[in-house]
Amino acid sequence: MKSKYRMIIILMLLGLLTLSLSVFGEGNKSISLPEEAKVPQINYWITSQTYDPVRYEIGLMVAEKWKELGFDVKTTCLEWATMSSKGMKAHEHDVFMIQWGGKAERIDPFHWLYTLHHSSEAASGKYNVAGYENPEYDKLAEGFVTNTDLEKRREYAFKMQEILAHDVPQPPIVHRVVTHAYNKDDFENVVMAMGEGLNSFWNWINITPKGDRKILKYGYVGDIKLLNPLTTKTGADIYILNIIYDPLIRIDVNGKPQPWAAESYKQIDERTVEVVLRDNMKFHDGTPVTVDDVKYTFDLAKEVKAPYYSSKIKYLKEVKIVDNKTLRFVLVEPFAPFISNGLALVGILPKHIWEKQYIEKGAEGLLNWDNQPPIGSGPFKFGYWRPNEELKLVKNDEHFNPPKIEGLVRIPYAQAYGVVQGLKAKEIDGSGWSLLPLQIEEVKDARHLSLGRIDDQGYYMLHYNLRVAPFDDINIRRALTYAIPKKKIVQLIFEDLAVPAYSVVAPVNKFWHNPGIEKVGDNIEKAKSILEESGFRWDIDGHIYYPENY
Amino acid sequence: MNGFLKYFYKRLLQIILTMFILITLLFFMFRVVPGDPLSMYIDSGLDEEATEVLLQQYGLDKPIPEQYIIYLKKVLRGDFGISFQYGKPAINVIGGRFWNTFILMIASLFIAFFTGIVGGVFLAWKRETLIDSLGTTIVLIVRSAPVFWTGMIFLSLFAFRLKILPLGGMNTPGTYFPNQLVKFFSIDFLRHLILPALTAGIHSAATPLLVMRTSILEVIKEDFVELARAKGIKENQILFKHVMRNALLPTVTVFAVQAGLAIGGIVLVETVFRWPGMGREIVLAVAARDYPVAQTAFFLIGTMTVIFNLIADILYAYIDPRVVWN
Repeated sequence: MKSKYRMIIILMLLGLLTLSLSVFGEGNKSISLPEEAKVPQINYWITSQTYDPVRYEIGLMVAEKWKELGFDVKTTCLEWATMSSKGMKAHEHDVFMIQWGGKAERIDPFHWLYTLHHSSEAASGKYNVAGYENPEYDKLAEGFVTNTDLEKRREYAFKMQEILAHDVPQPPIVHRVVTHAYNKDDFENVVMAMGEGLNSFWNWINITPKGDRKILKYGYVGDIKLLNPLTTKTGADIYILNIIYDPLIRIDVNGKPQPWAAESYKQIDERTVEVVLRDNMKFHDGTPVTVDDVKYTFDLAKEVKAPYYSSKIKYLKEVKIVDNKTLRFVLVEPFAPFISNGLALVGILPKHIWEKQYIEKGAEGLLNWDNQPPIGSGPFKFGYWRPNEELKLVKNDEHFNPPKIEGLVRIPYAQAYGVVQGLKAKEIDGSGWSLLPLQIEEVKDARHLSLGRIDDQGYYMLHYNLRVAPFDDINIRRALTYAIPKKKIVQLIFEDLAVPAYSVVAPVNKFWHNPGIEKVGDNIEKAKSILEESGFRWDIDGHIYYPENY
Repeated sequence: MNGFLKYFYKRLLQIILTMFILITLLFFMFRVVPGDPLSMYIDSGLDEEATEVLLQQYGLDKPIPEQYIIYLKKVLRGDFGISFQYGKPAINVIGGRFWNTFILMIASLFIAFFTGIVGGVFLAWKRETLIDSLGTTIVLIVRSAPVFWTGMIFLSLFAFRLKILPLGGMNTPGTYFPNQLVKFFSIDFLRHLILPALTAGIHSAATPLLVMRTSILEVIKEDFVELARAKGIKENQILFKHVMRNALLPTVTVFAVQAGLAIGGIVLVETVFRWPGMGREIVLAVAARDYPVAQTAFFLIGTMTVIFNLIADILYAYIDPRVVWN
């Protein structure tokens, strides 16, 4: 008897199952969507965990949210050089993430607003990686570059930030809080400058020893590459060259250009800047710094197309010597960032040394010259350099603004963890390598260490490619960007040692940052409604399809 | 002697062929890998003009076959080109680092073969006892442990806990040396050498040790050992004068192989101990696509391996009178 009931129940269950399946199947058919309307797969490149753990984690969190919206996201880990040459240079990407450094010469947001977004930079090999082309934006960008009135430029910059925040061609994600550790028992008057932290020039001339140990040992990941300012390609070299060589102007801690090797400077007209050279400056070999040296430096840098300087001085037409103290820089066309990007970057070279080398070696030979010892006029003189071991600089007593420390030893580590251990064991007194939350945890018990913090004006940025689907669609871009959990990333990955980024000009850059822009991010509901309102469709499995008649 | 000359020519030809293949492989190996030398400097914002000048300067604007011919011609003249990263001849970049690595390598090979040979003899002598099995197990564990891990354990023990040895580097920061030689003979340098040499040394000690142990076990069964015993020679003397000399042969072969392998391990050791050697330079050069530096470094390593093999061959004949030159 019992087995009979069981049979009936089983049969009924089976029937029910078949019924429900067929209903389900019917439903599926009724909303099946044409394959060609499907939004194409997104190829998303990130770097490996060992290269940068933070970037890797952010990458995964972003991909997760995009999948939630129904996008088919394929995440691939690429080695940096590969990603850089395929994405940054060839523009063959869909989307990838990089970290842009916030060095002092980028406080004038020319790089962020013009170089990364003007349509003339969209060709392969150039820096408008997204391929963003917007005539209205271009016009503003040109105004921003050519106008010499600061307030006017700021107006342009504000409007441009507004447009970028809305169009999201390549959204910034977060600004790190740059965290640099130093030995507070032995040194004081540390300066954490915007974008550069302890690496800043201002730190080197202000940091003061408390006791008898007057030589500061400074750790970093990786050694400098070379000391020839005309051939360097890295910011790490520039940090050091910047204290050996004096530029005419320096960007102060607040981001404002201040005369340095120049006594004063003024804009004569929109294409001419007049500079008066400071009196009584001497190179480290005792020869005086003259207007001839200045002119020669810029002429030479232009002639050999010095890689680090080239983009910053390409609008310079000629340098005219007015009298033995005065020079005029004449530009091809009005270019406002010339002062903050050009004059503030190029250090004055001694003509008598470089001219001799030039005659002996020729232009090409000059580019393979190691320039040792480098002779500049800056506050530090070259001591010695044993590559991958240590570099020593000593105080230049004759400088008009001599440093408080007697010298500086730069010690390169192979890995960030070496820096952390070195800090703990007092092998070094400080480091310009920004510490990650885990590393900060590790140095917490070291009583002699203090942490300096400042928001970075650089950021982790997603580079979309507007040349290909689906990133050519503004609604998709906006939805994808709204889905990025910026605040969560700050909380979970950086343990609050970061700030969410909405504008390509950082909030820490107070003068240029526009606080009133649309804050795109952290809102997956908004992302969904953008897609729904513009007619995007989803199938039963949640895959996203283009609107009808798209 | 005629036989030796013939053998010598044959080996020479072999070496030339090997080097040619090596040089060719090195050229194409790096060019097949995606990425280019300038992609490293994206953040610096190099503009198009500067990029073009650089490519031209590096000789990368020409088609690959042409680049290869130029490269071959230059290598024959001993010119490995200008480093893309450092803007000076690659051979100068590597040259400075080469001796640092060489010293570390010699020190670690010395440790490896000293402990290997002595340990092997000892374990073979104590064969089939608790000491033998314990010793063999420890040796196997040490060999299986990744060398960077062993290095970190040593660091945390000797540098952090006991604080008797330095954290890394080649000398105490801030020390000035008038020249390389003074540096290499300073106490400070030797103190810095201990941990990395020990780490790399004990890691590669396992192979010679096991080879030595096995070959002693084989030799010990031979008739002439029996005979020596019968003659009443002391056990110690039998071991060191008769058995060890005969058992050394396979270890010599292993030496050549091991010397080549040691470089691979030393890359990691150099990174852990901040040793400014060639290994770290290779890693940097590959990541930065600095072809000239990477090529020079690999060329030197390849040459070293070839030379070590040659030395092993010659030593072999010296130790074993049965080897004839042909």
